[in-house]
Amino acid sequence: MESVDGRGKDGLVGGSDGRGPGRVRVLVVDDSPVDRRIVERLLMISGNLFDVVSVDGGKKALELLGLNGPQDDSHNYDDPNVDIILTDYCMPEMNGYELLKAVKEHNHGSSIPVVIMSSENDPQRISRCRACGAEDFILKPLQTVDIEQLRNYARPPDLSATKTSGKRKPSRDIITDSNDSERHPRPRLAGVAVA
Amino acid sequence: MAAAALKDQLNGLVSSMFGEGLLDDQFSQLQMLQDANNPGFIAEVITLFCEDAERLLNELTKLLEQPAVDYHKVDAYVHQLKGSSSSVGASHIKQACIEFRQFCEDNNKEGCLHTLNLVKHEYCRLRTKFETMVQGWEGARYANFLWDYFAQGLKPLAFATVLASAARAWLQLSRLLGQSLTMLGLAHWLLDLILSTSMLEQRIQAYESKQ
Repeated sequence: MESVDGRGKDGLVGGSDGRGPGRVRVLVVDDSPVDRRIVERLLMISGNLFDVVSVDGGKKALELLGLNGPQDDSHNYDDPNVDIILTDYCMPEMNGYELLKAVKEHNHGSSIPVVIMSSENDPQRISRCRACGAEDFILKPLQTVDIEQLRNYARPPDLSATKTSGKRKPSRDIITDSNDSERHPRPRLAGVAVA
Repeated sequence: MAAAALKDQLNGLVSSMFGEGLLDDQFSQLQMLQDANNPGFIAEVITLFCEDAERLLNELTKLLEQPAVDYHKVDAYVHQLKGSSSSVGASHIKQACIEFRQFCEDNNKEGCLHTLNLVKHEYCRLRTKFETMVQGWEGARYANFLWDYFAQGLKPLAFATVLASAARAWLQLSRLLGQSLTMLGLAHWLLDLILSTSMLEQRIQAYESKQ
């Protein structure tokens, strides 16, 4: 796991681009240090599939992705090789929806899949994120089953190298009306984790 | 073996915390994430939780001391605390936060202050138990190592020399301070010395990685 300064906390060393062979590189964005650490650990133990980089806010995420500059500034753009963004919804300064929007609206970031995490099962919030191009909306606290899904959403390695891509069409999903967040077991309706 | 007895006590403590409803199933999920490669994971999460909770409780105290309370800000902090407590399985704190948010919605200062005190009380209760738990885990880890260290005959003479010199230092210290030397005091002081020896910590890590 890498923090923003690039040092691995779990002693993880990637390749020359910071990625292990055949591994999915996940950018975790969460303002809660507790949740960040738990998500990092969940990813680390998932069969050696993931390399993890984590930041504590949306602005830092955009900075790390190189998406905080102007749209046409492509000669300075350095692809951070992030295959998927896993972001919390409720964060100060820039929430998960705003980060999702910023990533999808930028021509260098639109191909990066984004998964939103939230402690609240709010149907409006879910549909808004899905309409903006989120791959999934997962309820917190995350569990191993949620992490297993991430690999399916990550962009394939050949796409990681390309700098631009057309926007994905969000699929239409059935959204639960329930606001109760007790979730045992956790059924999924078309990719949406529901209570 | 002392380590086994300590582990039994710790398991009893965790079970009692589940029994009292202080912890819920989420804590069991965290226990499953701890393994031989990451033996300090839960201790690390607990430390992060306590630091975060204390920061949030301080902010909430300041906000509710203001003559004009910013309930939107209060709610944001309570939401954060609810999230953290939910993630570590601290069910009493989580429930109190749900109640707290309701008072925020109603702009009820008295209700907010009452619930803040309840959250603080629940947090202090949990922190005390968490501290015991973390210290116990560390103790069990060291006891395990020391037991195996002697059982496998890994340079016991060198280790005995360290202990002997530590005992001599303790004697000199006790004479200097004019205090009587008790066996319990000696044992406690030696344990502190052992636990703070970085060389020993490195050996423990090397030993654990070989297992």
